Amino acid sequence: MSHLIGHLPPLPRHASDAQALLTAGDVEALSWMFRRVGPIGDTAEVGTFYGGSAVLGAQCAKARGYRHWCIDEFGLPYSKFPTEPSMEIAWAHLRAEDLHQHAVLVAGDVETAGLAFGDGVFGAVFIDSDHTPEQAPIDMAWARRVAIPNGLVSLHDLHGDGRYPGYQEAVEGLVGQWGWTEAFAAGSVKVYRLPDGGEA
Amino acid sequence: MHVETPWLPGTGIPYCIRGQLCKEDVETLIWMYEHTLDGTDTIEIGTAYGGSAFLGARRAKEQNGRHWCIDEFGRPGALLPGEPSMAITFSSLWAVDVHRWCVLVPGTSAEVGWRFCDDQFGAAFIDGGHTAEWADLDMTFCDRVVRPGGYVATHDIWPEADWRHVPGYTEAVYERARAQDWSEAHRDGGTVVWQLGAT
Repeated sequence: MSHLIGHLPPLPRHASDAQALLTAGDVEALSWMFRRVGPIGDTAEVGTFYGGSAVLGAQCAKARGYRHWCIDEFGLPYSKFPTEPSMEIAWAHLRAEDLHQHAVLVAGDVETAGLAFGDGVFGAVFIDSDHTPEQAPIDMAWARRVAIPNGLVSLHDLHGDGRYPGYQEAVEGLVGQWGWTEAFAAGSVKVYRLPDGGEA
Repeated sequence: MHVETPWLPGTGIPYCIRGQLCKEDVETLIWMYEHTLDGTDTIEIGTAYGGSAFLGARRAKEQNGRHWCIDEFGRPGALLPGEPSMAITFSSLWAVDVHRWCVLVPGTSAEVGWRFCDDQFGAAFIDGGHTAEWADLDMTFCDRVVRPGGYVATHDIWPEADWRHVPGYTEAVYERARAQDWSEAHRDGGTVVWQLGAT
């Protein structure tokens, strides 16, 4: 794996498997994606939880002087896990690696906080929120709007074994409908490239 | 045992939060946020150690929204590189449980501003670079992202005779407000609240 990550270090111990819920293959795929962000610079993710993917995104952002924006409910009162200290823990992981100045923690979801962003403002987006056939299209539609034409969008937990009923089918249906092409896959992460001109 | 958060006398800001805001500034910002359209997010430029961020985040918590804070936060190339202002701001907001409603965005309005949609915010507070150039940049940004009829407050606006007057910056603020059809809605201390035109 390390030769594929190149100049980027692997996830630090405190932010690895135990809390990040990312396998070595997942990390490989995300590192592949974040390393290929063009001059637009900033990247985003939906579903941060305790910050494993945020550390990866912020590492790449720091290397290039940009930002990695992280949207998550972060224990908001009306969230799935109210008062969960995920924002504090994610912040601690980022702060411990001196990455906090390259990560932006945004509490909410794509239908609330996500409205603030313009079209085509991110080079790459990672989606790892609710794995349901209802939520995946909402997150993917947001990513399709805010990613640049020819940008990259990745999704987590595409295991192909039906453990999240309807989720993978919904994802693959939209990928085909919107003309996204698979650019890389490792672990349970698939990285898709958007078509030129954005929305197909 | 419940212990009430101690507040700095007369300022409306918890004792643990450090802001370079006088009582009149705080009251003026509270006035602005009380007049801000319900359900809208707010934004500020120039957070430093989080005094004004607290005021915005407190309203955002009541509204289930967000207060977005743009600041260089000690990044390389900042006015104060290496300054731990982001860590101090986050810790301060966390201490009074408003951190989830505040978004700390490292950068300047010129660097990150273009990533935000038009007309997204109900109000903005500008306390960034106190130069004519930054007044132009920050006010132009706010004119785009604050909704028509919304409010923008500018800090450290003092008359020429006052020792706190900032030459160049103050004149640029008035000139840009006129050019963008902003009208003065409220003023106290060194903070002026402008209302954007309705269209």
